[in-house]
This record gives sequence, structure tokens and C-alpha cells, in this order.
Amino acid sequence: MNETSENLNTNDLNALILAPFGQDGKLARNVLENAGIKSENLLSLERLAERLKFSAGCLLIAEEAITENALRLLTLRLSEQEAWSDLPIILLSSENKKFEHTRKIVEHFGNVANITLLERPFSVITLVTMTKVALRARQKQFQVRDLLTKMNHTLSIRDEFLSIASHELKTPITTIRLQTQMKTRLIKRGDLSSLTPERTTKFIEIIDKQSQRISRLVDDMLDITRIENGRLTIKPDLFDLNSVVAQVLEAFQGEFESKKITVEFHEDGQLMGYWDQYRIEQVVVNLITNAIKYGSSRPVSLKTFRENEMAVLTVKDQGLGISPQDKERIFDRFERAVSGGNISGLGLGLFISRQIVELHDGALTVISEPDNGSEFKLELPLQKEIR
Amino acid sequence: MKELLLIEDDDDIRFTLNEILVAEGFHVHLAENGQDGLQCLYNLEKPPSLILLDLYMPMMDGSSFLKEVKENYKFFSSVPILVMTAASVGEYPKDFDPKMILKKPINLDDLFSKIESLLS
Repeated sequence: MNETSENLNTNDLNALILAPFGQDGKLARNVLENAGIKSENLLSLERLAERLKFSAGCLLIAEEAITENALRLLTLRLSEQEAWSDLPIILLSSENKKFEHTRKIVEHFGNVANITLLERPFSVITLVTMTKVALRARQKQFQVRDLLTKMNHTLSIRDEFLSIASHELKTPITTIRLQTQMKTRLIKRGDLSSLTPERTTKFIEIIDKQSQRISRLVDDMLDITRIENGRLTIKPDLFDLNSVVAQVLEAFQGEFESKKITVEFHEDGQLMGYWDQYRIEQVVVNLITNAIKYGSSRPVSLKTFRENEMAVLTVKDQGLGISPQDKERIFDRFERAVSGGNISGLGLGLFISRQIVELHDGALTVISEPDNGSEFKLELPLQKEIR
Repeated sequence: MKELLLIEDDDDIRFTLNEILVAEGFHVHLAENGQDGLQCLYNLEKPPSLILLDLYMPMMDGSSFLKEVKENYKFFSSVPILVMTAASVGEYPKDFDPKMILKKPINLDDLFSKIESLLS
């Protein structure tokens, strides 16, 4: 049964009827339709077998329709059901009391199907109630299917994330391990020139930088967990946005110089607000890191100004740019516009940044065209208590 | 002096590996990605003895570099290429020879024994 390929509205589940002899099929259908239950009267076993390839709510089947051939075909179809699926079957027993045949059918299906016996003659209300119970149980099965699909999707995203995270963690560890192995090798060889104060200082700087990289990755991973659990909170303080931007730029001075990237910062008056300084600094670091990472080593320009009672920071690079279809995606979890291992990182930065900014009742957006750079715009409410 | 081409996007790994290889007496050419690596090959007078190649890189990754060398740089196709990767065993591209893979974090003894066997 191929239920997973359909995007099914569980209210649309039909009761399938197979009662090819006499008027039973027609009568049953009328009764169910009157009770508001959608049903289909299938006139032959072949049509039913074909129909069972698609979503079905439950099956009402007259005992006399179950021949040896029908038994085999139905058993085959039912055994093809996926793990979550257990199509309810209501067997309308014969009136002529050939109980042996009935017992054989029930026993046979007992191992592969969810079968209930309804002895004829039966009252209308019994048929309607039983069908409703069957459809209700079936709806639950489809809900389980949807949950399973969602869970599998989440799991595969998480697997991919773990794979990226371990790759990202291994990169700084590689440098640390190479540095320590190199030192051990030189010392073993008696090459003490590697222990000069300058080289030792350089060694310590490298190890320290790598540990910071690892710690940033771990922080990002922890932030993601906080966001997912709704535990990311902000501790507002009154400060000037310009001071944070200036501090972050100062911290990045070395990196700009070593990558020969020029950076400009224009500020237009004080921009005071109640924001979480640590978190806003994190957002500014993320925007500047991205401008360096994706800016193709071209100049980066930052501006702060006041616009509609908001403090605004724009960070503009002249790099790869972002295509229109990627503009919103880059703010999603584990997403980056450039895929295929082209750019390193967990792809969490902008997602975390936007969450932080939204907690401040602000906005984080981007204007960009491919090959024409990107301009990220951070807006935060000026000097107003936040929730 | 044996010449090596090192293609690695991470500045710190590139810096450190270069330092190590130079200390071992190699002449090292450096490239930051596959494209940069191809440009470097193009400019060299003779092929290097060995290429050390990272897999995940911007602009042109390691797999594309390998493909490009195989298809369009036949002059260099006899140069052994050691692929450095943090990927776990199950994630290697299928056509990779495990002998030509150097797992990250790199073990220096492993690096030198592989280089030695490839250059002998």
C-alpha cells in the first residue's frame, strides 16, 4: 500500500465497500452517506485491489465476496502495509450461518489484518458506529504516519548537523594536534631552536586561537538548544550601539589586516537602547564574520544611524551576494546560501542572530544580489523597555 | 629539494602544515582552494612530487580539483595526490583509494610515512 506518497487530509478517508452480490453494497453506501461517511462501492475484487494501493479509511467486505483468490490477493495487499498502517476491515458475515467459512476467514486475516465481524442482519446504527470507530482509528494511524515523517526529517537534519559539527570541530583540533606533534618531534630531535620565546609565543597564540574557535562552535550548538527549548533570554542594559560596533571592529582589526580587507565605519550620533550587550555583540560579530567570509576580500562598510525610532546598523560587503531564493533561507537553521562544502561553518550564525534580534523586538534583514555583495540591516528599538 | 603543493583553505592548518613540511626539508607551494591550486600548477615549471589536498574548500573543492586534474591537466595526472579530510570513513567519495587518504586530525607519523612511500 502506497499511503505515504499522498498528502492526505484524514477527514477525507473513505470507507471502501465490496459487496458485489445483490443490493447490499448499494444499501450500505446509502446508509453510510446518510450518516455523513464518505464511501465507495467497488464492484469487483480487482478494482478493490487496485484501489487499496491508495489511502483507504476502512474496508467493508461481504463474506460471500471472499473466494480463495480474493483471500490470496487481499492477504498480499495487506501484508504490503507499512509499519504504521493497519487497515480496519469489517467483515459482513453471511446470513446462512455457514459459520465454518466465516471462522476460516477471520482466522486467516487474524494474523495479517485488523478484522471485526459484523453478523447480518445488523441494524443501521451498528454499521454506522462500527464504521465510525474504524475510520477514527484509521485517522490516528495517518497521524502517526505524519509524525513519523516529520521525525525522520528532523532526524536527518540533525544527522547532517552532527556531521557538519564534527567536521567543523576537527578543523581547529587538526591545527592543535599538528602544532603539538611538531613541537614533540623537534624536541625529540634535539632541535631546540623551536623553543625560542618568539616561536613559543606564536605556538601559544595559535593554540589559544583554535581553542576559541572550538568554544565558539560549542556556544553556537548550546544556543541552538536554548532556542529550541525557548530558553534563550536577554538581559537588557542601557548602552550605545556604536560602542559595541567599535569594540567588535577593534577585536577584528588583526583579521582585517591579515586578510588585507579595508573596513569603514560611519556613525551618526549616539544610539542608546536597552539591549542585551553580550547578545548584540554576538550579532555584530556574526555580521562582520560573514562579511569577511563571503566578502571576497573586498572593502567592508558599516554604518549606524537612526530611522523610525530604531537604531540601525548596516554591514555591507562586495562579495558573492545572495540569490533572491536564498534570501530567507539563510536565516533558517543549518542553512547557508553557498552549499556543497564551499564555505565552512555550522550555518547557525544568522539563525541565532535573527532569534536574538527578534527577542529585542528588532529586525534583521538583507538586501543583496548575486555577485553584487550583501547588505545586512540590524534594527533595534531605541531606548524603550523591552518585554 | 622535493617540491610539494599544499591546497588547504583553513589559514591555520595551511600555516602549520607549511611550517612542518619546510622543517622537514620540502619546498612547499601554497594554495587556498582548488582553483588557486590549478593556477599554481599552471605556473610551475615542473610538476610537484606530491599534492596535499583538502576536500572541503570554497570556490573549488577537492573533488572538483581531482576531476579537473584528471580531465584537463593530464600533464600532472601522474602526480600522487594525498587527500586530507575530516570526513569519517563512510563519507569518503566511493572512488577514493584509502591509501591516498589522510584523516584529520592529521597524525604526523602517518603523514610522513605516506609521503615517504609515495615519493620512494
